[in-house]
Amino acid sequence: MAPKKREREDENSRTSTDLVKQDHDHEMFLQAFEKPTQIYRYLRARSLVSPLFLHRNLLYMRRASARRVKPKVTRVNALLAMAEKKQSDLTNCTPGQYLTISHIGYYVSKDDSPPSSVRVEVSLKKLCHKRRKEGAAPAVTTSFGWTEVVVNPSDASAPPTVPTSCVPAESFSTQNGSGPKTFVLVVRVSPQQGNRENEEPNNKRRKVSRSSSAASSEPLRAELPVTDRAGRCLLTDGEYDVLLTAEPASQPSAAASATPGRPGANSPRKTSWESFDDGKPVPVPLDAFSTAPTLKLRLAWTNQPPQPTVERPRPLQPRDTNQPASAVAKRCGRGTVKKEESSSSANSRESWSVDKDRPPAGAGSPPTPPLILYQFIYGPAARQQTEARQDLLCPWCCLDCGKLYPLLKHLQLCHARFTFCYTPFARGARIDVSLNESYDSSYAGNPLDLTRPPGARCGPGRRTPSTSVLVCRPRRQKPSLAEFQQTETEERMRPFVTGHNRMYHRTATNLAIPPAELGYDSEGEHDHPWLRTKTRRMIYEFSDVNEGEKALMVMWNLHVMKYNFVGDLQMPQALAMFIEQHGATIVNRNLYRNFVLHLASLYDFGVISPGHIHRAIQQFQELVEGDGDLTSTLVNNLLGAAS
Amino acid sequence: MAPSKEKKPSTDWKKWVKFEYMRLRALRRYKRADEIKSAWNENRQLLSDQLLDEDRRQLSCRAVWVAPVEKQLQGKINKMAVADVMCGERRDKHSVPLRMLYQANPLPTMYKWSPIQNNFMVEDETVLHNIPYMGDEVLDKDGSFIEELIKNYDGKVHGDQEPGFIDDEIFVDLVKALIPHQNKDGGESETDSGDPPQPTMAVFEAISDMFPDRGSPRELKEKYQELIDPQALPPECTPNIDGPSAQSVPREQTMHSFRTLFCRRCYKYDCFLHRLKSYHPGPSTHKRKTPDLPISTEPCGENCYLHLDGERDKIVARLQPTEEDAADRQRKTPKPWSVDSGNEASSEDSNDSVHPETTKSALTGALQGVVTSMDRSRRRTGSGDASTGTAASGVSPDPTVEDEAWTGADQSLFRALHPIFLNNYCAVAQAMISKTCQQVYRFAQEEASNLPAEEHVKDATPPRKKKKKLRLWSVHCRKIQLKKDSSSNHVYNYTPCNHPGQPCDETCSCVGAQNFCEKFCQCSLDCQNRFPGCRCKAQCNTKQCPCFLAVRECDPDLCRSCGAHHLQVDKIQCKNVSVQRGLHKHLLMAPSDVAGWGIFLEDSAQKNEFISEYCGEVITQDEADRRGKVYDKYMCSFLFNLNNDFVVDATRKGNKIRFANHSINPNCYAKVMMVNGDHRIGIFAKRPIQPGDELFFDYRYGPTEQLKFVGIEREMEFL
Repeated sequence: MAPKKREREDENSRTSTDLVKQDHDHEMFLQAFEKPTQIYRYLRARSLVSPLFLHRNLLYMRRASARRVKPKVTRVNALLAMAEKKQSDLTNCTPGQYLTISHIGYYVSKDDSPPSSVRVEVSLKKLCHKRRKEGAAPAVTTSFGWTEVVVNPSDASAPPTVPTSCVPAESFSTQNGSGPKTFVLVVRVSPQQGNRENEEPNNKRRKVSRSSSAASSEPLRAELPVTDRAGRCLLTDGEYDVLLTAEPASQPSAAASATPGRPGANSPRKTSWESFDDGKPVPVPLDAFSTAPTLKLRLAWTNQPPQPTVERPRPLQPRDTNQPASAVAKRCGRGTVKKEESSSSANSRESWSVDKDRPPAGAGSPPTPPLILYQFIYGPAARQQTEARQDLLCPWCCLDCGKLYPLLKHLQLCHARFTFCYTPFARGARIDVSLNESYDSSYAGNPLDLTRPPGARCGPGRRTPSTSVLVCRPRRQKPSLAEFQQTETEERMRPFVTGHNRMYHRTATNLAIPPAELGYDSEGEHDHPWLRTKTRRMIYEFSDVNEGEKALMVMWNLHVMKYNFVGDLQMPQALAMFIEQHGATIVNRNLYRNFVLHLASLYDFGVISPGHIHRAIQQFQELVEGDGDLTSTLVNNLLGAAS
Repeated sequence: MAPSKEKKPSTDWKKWVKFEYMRLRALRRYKRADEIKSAWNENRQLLSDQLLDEDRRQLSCRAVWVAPVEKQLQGKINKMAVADVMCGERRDKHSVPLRMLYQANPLPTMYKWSPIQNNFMVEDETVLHNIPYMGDEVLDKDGSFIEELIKNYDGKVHGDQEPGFIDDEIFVDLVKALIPHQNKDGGESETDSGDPPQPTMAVFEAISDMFPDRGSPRELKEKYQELIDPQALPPECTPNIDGPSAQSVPREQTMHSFRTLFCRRCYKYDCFLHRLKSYHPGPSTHKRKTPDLPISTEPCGENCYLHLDGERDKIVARLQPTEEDAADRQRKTPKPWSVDSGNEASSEDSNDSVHPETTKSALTGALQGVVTSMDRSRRRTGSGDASTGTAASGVSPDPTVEDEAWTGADQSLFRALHPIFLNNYCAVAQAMISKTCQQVYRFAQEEASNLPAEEHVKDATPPRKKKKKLRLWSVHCRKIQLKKDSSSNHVYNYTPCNHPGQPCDETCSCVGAQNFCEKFCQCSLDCQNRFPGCRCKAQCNTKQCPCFLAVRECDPDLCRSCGAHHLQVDKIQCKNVSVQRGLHKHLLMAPSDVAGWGIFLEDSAQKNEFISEYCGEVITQDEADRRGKVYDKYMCSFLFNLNNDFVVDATRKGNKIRFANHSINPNCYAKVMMVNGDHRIGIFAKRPIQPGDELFFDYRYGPTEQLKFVGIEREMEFL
């Protein structure tokens, strides 16, 4: 969806009637995808600054990474050995015992009329890390000898053998010496001693051509870092084009240009959405590879020291491009070579090569990155746009997923505002991207933040953190691409954190319920106060019911409402409770005979039996006899009625 | 009276009557306005108290956020409010920074409603209580709506009483106000000053002239006499049996209030739900199967009637065949009285509160002794003689006869108790306390001569033979199936049938309405049409359970094995009693994700789990039509069809589930169930529901199947 692409598409389908509608459709299309894309871009930037978690720790990503993480069993006795081993050297991280460098050729532009061969010195620079402010970092350089390298060998004229250099892995040891070190492989090219006469014309041309002329006159050099900061070996097997620069100007930028292990750092990326590279100029334009002198090397890790010269290896064939693989900075085992946008095919940079001829040492080679077509679908008109990529980077956050399954899983889990549907096809995969209509974007934090008036904060404020403990042990299914296919798009999007991320209100007052009181159920009781008042009023409204009856009826009604009796069988128990709770009141309010009438009424309706009545009366009288005051009150009442 | 004479005062009288009538009406209006005012104030006080309570609780609770005070940012104030204040000579300039108040998100509209947990039946409204206001646009656009509405109520709108309105109170006041005028009239002047002057016929003539529909002057006069008589209670009002003016009345009259007001189905007096006359057939007339209290052969105390000559022998002779056996039982088990309530024995219930017979007779004897001795002493000192009791049958010197003095209360109480305990005078005496066993016995003999012998009402329906019992049950199960299959969509309300002397056949109201007979019916316990209940040992939540299959909740009196009868809710393993026990889920109200308010589940729910009952006012279909007109206009309806006769309306009274919104893909469903004779609406989970999920059900199968209430849904339909 790069702007130019949009135009092109419009041009293709330019018919005067459709144009307006199509424009409108397209506008809608872009708008629909714009917001989620921007959100994900923003999230990506934020997670770069302060990562919440490392992607590589995710289970599905772990599968993707080449490293096999074995469950470590730590024993106390082995701790020292482990620490020592870790510290000892890098040999365990280098794929072989010896780093063999085959010098295939030295390439300069033809018009420089270069000498037939140059001297190439391979040396290892050992940099001790600077400690505090110690001044210059101590550096030790070890040379591994000179070799003669042919200049501009063509397929026909190449000598049958190529010279090699060998760097034993022991030299990467960090054990002796102080502090951690970094190793840089330095390749220095100087003109052949006997070709002094060629020097002059080169000097002359220096003014004409930019920097290439410097190559032949002065020693040129390039640096290849052997390890990254974590001590991993960056120099993997493969063929390298090393860009050479003049000796004094040994800026790290020049060296970095040739480092193969970091594809993300300097390969200019131009996705169709927008550029990530913050407008920073690419340190070394890839054009330089076509003009500046380069040295072609082949690196291989072997377990025996190689012969001083080996048979010339077959040149690696680029896969399907119209140009030789001149611009490719690296071919590393991971195969994460960036493919340029296909639409700008005229550009030479677009050409890519993923030529792979794996040395036999590298076992378990991953497959070539498939072609991935992202098909953006929107709207009822099934408006769609296709974008092809040759890598397994996530289009939104540029996360290198390494394999298709992790990529799909990542897309599905981290970019849930879209739905992704995977369809395999011959050369790779098609991923249909559409907007997730049912995306739940509700705020999952403290609900109090939602009711807080926006005016109360000045500027961005941190929301109240809310913690939810998640215990989820789903049965892990075997990862399979089938799970991304059409079938089960409905069910899968259940949020993990369900719960009360909203503000609840009281039903009576509409006031917000503080979180501490969520547990109280206002519907817990059967007799709401207004109902109690109502039943009292309704009974008292009767004109032909006498006072004693009214009082007893109200008392009984409230009792029944409170306990919600449901069956005839519960009535004896209800009576027992009634006597227990209201017996004294009945006596004090002079309602005993009314109570007996109430019992008789229950009997008349067939709710209780004479036995129950008898028992109720006994219980009542026991209660009264237990209390002297009640006894006298009852007796007085009964006799008062008589006199 | 000559017509000329009648004519002449009538102009004057007319004037007076009219004047006094208007004055009284105005007075009444003012009084009413005052009442309304004070009631309003009272309510307001209640509300503000409630709010204060809430505030206090909020503040005492720690988990509150305090609105952060905006920091005073020096550079950021761009506007100041400035005021010049003249203060005497000085002129001050005051300024304060302007602060923008941000708009707070408004809560959805809510109209006040009253919480209830059970349905509540209300009568049809015959007058339109208020003319609904729904914005000027609606009225402008659709002026005929209000007219139509008023027509629905036959033009009756609350408050505009016809000019000739007169009620008892006004009538009495009017007559009293007119009495002074009769002196002016001079025709007949009252001379006696002691008594308040009685209104003459002229007064009534004038009133009758003014309000011809109120009857003739003679009728009016009679009515007036009746109304002003302070003594004249309504004839059916029985004096309080515990009060001083208790009278000796027949049992019917004693029990009248209890009998008419008791709701057999709610166990309450004047209950909220069963307001129809037909719901209350009165006490069941047929003889109950319950065994009477066994008559003890042991005297209950020193004054027991068994001490009378020959009495005991008579009893013993009557009980002869079973005496041994009964005595045996009494010795073995501490269960002297059978406590059956018409069904099979509830052994569990009877076990818990049975007292050994010995202790109880001793105790009651003690209480009775106190009463009789006090009674006697009081009579001897003569304090009781001064006031002759209303029903005291004359004092005779003979002490035994003196003891026999039966007050009205005693007599009434005896008559109430006698049919229950029959000839078990010990029990009657114990219940009465104030009389000894012998006194009761003697009185009973007297009464027996007046009253016909106890009648045994024959069972209305011929009893079925016992051995068929098991088959009966399976027949019922099959019948349920049949009923289910052939069910038309009409579900009729249950009314207990009452057709004495006839079995439940085609003429029975229950059979006609395709309902089962319930325990509230007047038919025999062995009636064919009764639902037998289930015998499940499990949770009654599958179609294996006949109750579940018949869309009934388990009846605590019928289904014993599933534990539906336990009073403690946690003892019940049956899951088919949730509506009657109110075992609803905790619901929380919040602004909905869809529209207006919504209701959310606090905890999770399994599929088919009971969520809540949809409670509201039970109104007739006609009333629902009238109310529905207004609700349609508001686009907000809480109507829910209960059955063919009634509708539940949760607009004014309801519970929280009324806030559940409509969805075509809901997570809940509604089911109208027969719960102990009432249709009630249960809301159940259609699928597993997570905590915090909003609840939806499909309105179309419940309420009036009209989609117009749900705007959102309509849009979806169009898409």
